[in-house]
Amino acid sequence: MPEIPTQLPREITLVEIRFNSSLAILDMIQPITNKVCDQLGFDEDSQYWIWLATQEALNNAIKHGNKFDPNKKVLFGLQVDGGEFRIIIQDEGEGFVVDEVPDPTRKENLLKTSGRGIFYMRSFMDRVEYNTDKGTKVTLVKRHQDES
Amino acid sequence: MKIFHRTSEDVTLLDIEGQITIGDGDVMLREALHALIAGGQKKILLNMARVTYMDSSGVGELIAGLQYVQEHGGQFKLLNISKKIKNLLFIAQILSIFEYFNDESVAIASFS
Repeated sequence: MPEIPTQLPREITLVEIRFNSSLAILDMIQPITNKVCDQLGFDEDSQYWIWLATQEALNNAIKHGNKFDPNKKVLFGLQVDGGEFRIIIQDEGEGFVVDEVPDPTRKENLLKTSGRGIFYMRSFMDRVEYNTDKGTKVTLVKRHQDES
Repeated sequence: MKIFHRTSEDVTLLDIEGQITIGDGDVMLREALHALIAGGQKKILLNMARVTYMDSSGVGELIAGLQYVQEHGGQFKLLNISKKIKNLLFIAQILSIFEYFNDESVAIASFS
């Protein structure tokens, strides 16, 4: 019987899920994300903030990108590449210009009741990349120590 | 999310249990605050001791709640916010707009 590897490979797409535009899917994605974080050696606090950033990106994809359209899909992926953990979320929306999103920490925006999702993603991840060629593809990047 | 109501003196306490996120708790919290104001209760203390998680939508609901209560001449304060939720508010530079307490009796006494 072949030996089952217990450690994650260095470069691989671990998870790829395409799902309908429903917030209900988040309850299924959270344990998968946390399990991978656990295997990569992220502590409990780091897992908490990584999930928060992930949830913000998923919320945006479902709400702002696909506008809750059940016919549009969201792609969710988890990748490990060397020392980086990447979370990929892609919607089928019209895209947006990320530089035009107002800074929620500016005085005139502090009392606004929305518009902090991207700010939190950037706060809790090492890097956030956007590609709006086809829908919006967000890549959340966090370096991890477990490179074995 | 669940909301439990109780009163102490003339202060209404809302004990929140669960998470305040988009689609789970945000609308419920808003409706609870609007109902209290409609019923003439203007001293509101939100006990967040059992809030397990909050996202940016939850943060937005706290701001909306504060503004709504204040616009109607009321007071809206927070009790027992966790370290993580405090961090969420702090890094967004909005922690200072809230009055928050760790002691319930002190919080209740603060309502004038």
